[in-house]
Amino acid sequence: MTSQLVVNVLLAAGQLLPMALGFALIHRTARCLHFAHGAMCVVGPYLALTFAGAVGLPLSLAVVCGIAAAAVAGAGIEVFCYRPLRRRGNSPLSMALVSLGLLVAIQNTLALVYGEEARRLRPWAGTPGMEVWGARITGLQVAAVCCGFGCVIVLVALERGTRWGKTIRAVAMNPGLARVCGIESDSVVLSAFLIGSGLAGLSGIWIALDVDMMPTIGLGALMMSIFAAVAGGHRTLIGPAVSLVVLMSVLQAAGLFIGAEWQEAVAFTILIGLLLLKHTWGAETGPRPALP
Amino acid sequence: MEYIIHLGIMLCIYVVLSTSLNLIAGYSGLLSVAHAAFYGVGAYVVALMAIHWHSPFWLSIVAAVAVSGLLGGVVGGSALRLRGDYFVITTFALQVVVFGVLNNWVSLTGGPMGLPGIPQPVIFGWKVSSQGGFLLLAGLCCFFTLFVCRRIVQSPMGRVLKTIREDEVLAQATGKNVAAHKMLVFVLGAGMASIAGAMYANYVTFIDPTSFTVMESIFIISIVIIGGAGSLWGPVVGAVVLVTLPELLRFIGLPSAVAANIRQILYGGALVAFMMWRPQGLLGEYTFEKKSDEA
Repeated sequence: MTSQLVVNVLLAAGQLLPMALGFALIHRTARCLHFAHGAMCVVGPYLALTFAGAVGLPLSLAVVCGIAAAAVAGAGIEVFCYRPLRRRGNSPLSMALVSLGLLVAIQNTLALVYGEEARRLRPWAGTPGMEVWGARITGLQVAAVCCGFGCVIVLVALERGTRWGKTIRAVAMNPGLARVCGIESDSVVLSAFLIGSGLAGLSGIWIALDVDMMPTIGLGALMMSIFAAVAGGHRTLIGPAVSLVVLMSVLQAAGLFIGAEWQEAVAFTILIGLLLLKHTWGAETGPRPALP
Repeated sequence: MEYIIHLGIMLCIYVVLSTSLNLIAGYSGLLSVAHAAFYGVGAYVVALMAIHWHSPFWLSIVAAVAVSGLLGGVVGGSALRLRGDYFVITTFALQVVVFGVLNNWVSLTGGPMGLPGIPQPVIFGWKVSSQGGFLLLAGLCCFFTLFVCRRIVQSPMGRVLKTIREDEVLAQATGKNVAAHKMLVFVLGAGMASIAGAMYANYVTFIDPTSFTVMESIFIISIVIIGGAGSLWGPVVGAVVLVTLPELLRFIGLPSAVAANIRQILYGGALVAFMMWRPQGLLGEYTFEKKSDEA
């Protein structure tokens, strides 16, 4: 049972890590609560389904196109919605409101086009998987875990070792000073949205390949991403990754002892407590200055 | 005619909800995504008291207001410590937790199966069983809510709330008890939302958690934004626009499942459009445009 618990934690974390990292990247760089990130998680797999079905692409290529479509959609939201608001001097709260509206509109548009019922992305039937140290896991799930943790390694390496990573960190820490040093915050934020939304699409595709997809799968994944970003802080991408793994561990344990249906309620009770405790410890629990 | 009366009842319920949220978000500048939680708690308290204890309607309302008000006080308390994004996340989290409790505590709330058979209210010997009677009751509750809100807004408390909205540091510097005002506005707003929940529960006689999700909170926010935050009549206009106009979809022959999705797309799209191009809404004065308060 313990080994199955560990496998479940790794699988859940592996599927959600790309989305959580994407949300953390966007949140710390653009300084806005991007609820529409949950919609990007759904855009990816549904468009991959269209590319595979209606267009006739091989699944691997359709998946890449789905991820790209999610990335472009996220970038479009930044260019056409958030950037004009930022330039007008609007507060991050107004962007949060816009993102709520986008989440509702995009989710229901997908439901209208594709239907509310569960759709299958993978063309093959589910398999019982292989037994590893007493736990069962499928090849697809192994790939999801490797991909998820691989994303952490790649993103942290990019953040630490590339010029892009330095500009992202500069804008995240002090956008005013970054601008003084010649860093154009708009293009940096755009890159964060491109990569972050693409990662959300990737998470959605792994979830869809594993358990099929519905227009509402993004909301649960969004909640976990928000938890990871808040608990992990915005100084580094490792924090949200570690927070997500810890969260999944707690949730799987809660599922075992209390019941799986209580996982979300447990997660968010912990989040509320964490936010209030962070304030008590003097950590930042107020809004950071908006981008100039 | 029955359909129009039904529309009127739902309109009154949403006016109460949006007016109460307007007090919190529009006048105080505290964006809360937990309003459906207060609405749901009110509905369930009334339903449970009516079903299990056959309590009088007035007592159920008082209990619902008390429980929701207490929950609102908890949220208001968190507003003392958290600002901006973190406060929105906290209210979002609370909404999820409350939904989780309503959906999973099967022995108390019926879980996903909900609570059927809610008896119709009896108010001082008058059994409210007809649609016309419910419209009158809903209208009275709506009028009461607007009256209370108007008194609050025009009182010194209302001026303090607006000051907190515009500049919390200034409010503190002038000696106003910001903490008490934030708590109080949440208690009042949550209490009023529970009245809407009570009306809803008694009118439809069946409630389940799917009526009180985060999407419902977003819809209530949309009404406030589109009608106009910070204006007494803004939520009324917003409710008329968002509750009645999409009903026109019924008359163009769309299947109900499709119409439901289109309605949600219209709500979401309208929220985005108004925030982009008319953030003050149709009648409002507050735009959420001020840079984040760095207090």
